[in-house]
Amino acid sequence: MSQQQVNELIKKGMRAAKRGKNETAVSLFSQALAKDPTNEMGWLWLARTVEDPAKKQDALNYVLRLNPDNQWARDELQKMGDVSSSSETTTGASTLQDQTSELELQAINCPNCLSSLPLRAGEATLTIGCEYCGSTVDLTKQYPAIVGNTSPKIRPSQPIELGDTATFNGVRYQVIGWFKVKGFDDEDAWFWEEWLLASETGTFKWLSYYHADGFSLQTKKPITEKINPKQARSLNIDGKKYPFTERARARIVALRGELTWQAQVGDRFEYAEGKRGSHRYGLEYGESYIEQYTGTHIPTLELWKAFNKPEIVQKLEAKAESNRTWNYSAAIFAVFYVIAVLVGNILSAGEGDVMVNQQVAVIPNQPRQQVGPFEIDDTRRPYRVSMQVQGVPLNQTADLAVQIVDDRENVYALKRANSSVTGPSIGSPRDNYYFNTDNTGNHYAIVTLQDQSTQMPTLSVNLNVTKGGLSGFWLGLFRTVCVLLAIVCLAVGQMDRLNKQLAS
Amino acid sequence: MQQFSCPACSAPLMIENRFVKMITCEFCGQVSFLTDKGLDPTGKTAKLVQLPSRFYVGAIGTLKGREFSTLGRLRYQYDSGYWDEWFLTFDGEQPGWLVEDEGTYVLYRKTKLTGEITPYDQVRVGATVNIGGKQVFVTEKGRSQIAGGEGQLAFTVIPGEQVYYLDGTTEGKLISVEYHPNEIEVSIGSPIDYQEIIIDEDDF
Repeated sequence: MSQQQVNELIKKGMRAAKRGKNETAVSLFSQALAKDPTNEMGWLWLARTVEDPAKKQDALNYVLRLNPDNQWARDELQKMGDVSSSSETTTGASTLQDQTSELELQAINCPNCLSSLPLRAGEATLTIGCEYCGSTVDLTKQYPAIVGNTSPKIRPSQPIELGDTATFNGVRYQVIGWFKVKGFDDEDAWFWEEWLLASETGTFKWLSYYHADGFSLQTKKPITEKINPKQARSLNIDGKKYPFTERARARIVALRGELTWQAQVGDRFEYAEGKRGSHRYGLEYGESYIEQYTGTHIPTLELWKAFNKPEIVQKLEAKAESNRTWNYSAAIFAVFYVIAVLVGNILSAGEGDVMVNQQVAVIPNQPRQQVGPFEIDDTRRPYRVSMQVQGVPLNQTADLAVQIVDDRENVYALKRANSSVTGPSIGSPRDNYYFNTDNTGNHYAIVTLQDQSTQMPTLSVNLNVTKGGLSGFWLGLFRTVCVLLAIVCLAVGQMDRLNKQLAS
Repeated sequence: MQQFSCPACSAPLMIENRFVKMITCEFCGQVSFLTDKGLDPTGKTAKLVQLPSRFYVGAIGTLKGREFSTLGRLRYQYDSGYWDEWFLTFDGEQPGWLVEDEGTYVLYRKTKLTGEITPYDQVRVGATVNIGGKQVFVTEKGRSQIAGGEGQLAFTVIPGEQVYYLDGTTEGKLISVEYHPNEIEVSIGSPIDYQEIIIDEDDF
């Protein structure tokens, strides 16, 4: 093994030690020292990483044999003499390892209520909001100092607690802080919340929640072009323009847990933000900074899956399922209802025999014209009168009424009896009216010009009477069945939804 | 690679790059400046708490496909928190500083200031300033303090030293300016995506 290979083994061992893999490091240093027992660096690092006090002492003695001036080895041996009765060692590498695991274990006591407050982000935390008494503690001073307070009544609106973990895109994050912000402009005020998530590799993300938009996950992004945050209308991200939809001022109204800057309730800032599809983006700015954030909208179900909250996921999935059932049943209801109304009309009146088809002339001094007779032989069926008017002058309106009478002078009301036609009319759209009669025999359709005072020229009116396709009984039955089926579908959907909601 | 002994504890120190001007002893914490005459001891640096990070001194890997090794780290403290700068060397390329701030990464490389620069007092966030003839849009300004360092670094810094800085952007690049008492340093940077950094995981 060459000296270069020995050095490589030592460097690899140093990397292992710095990642807290002490056993591996000891093995690598031992391999290197087996080939080159005169390597002082190898013995030094072995002394730093080995747990066994006797082996550590041996390694330190080797160092001093090779380099009697090595003060660190001498000091370490001295310390070992002081604590020789104890098996405790404080090697540098193990300190690193401890620090790595201590990131979750470090804590301070709240200066107000003395509660233990975990410092999950370690030294990166500059502000911490006490979960118990609400005090805001500034950690940048020589001693933790209370700089504000959050009312204990103000809690996160969503069940995301400090210390909860979530996995996004394969990276695990821990919730370390939360704050609530009041946004406001000259007309309105609104609130949103943000949770600070920290990964094990030092990546921070902001989980934002606004009731009208749900959750979004955002990260800070360096600004790479000139932008005036107070006037910019859009943000240029990767060559694409994303317009701002909102610009306002904001104020922190509550905070809990750890934040990585000096923050306190009442701090103000300004922001501009927007959304396009699932993209969320914005600028936050103050006197000495402009920051850009980008991120994506997180659907609620995905969010709770990321947080591994099965009880919420189950509820949401049940709700989504019941909503789907409800939507299906509502759609089926609508289909049956449409069938009942539209198809019923078509079947009842659209396809029957033509009873009469006649053209009459209507003028103000002969406003009433009779069409027929036509013979009705089935009183159970509906009949349709179809009328088309021609000859109404420009910008004048002719009001025409249609009535059905039988041989015995009985007058049958039509479901819609009047027609108003505005000129110029060379052939108005056909108006359709439906009627049923009580008697068989000859019937007449009477068309009357309602307003005889106008200077109306001769109008040509075409009346057409057809027999309905279904009898009134069958039509009624058809419609009743359709409506009943629709109601049953709706009821089944609603019952299913209620059952699923109760079950969840 | 040059080998020295720590002036304080005599532990061996390996200087791995010709750009290195300062080294921190991993054993006793002594900070030494590299001079023509050897190592000049200056004082001790505060031991840095290991904030969660993918990087560590000694880490090797690839950044945008280029192999790098991590020689040192410098931590700055400012009003809004901390940020770490990792001193990276690349084979056959100018070394760079990878700035890690809340999980975002920017690789800066020092550049020569070839013209005038707007004095710090006249810099305003949101305004455009002249930096060596380039019009730079200022996104942040402030005062920071060197909280500490570890490993090997390319310049001589003294923990506790205050630095006025501005961050800005021009022509799609990021600009960082540090106003030291005796020097103004300008660096040009590019944002690096998380996925563009691969740290080699040794098969321990």
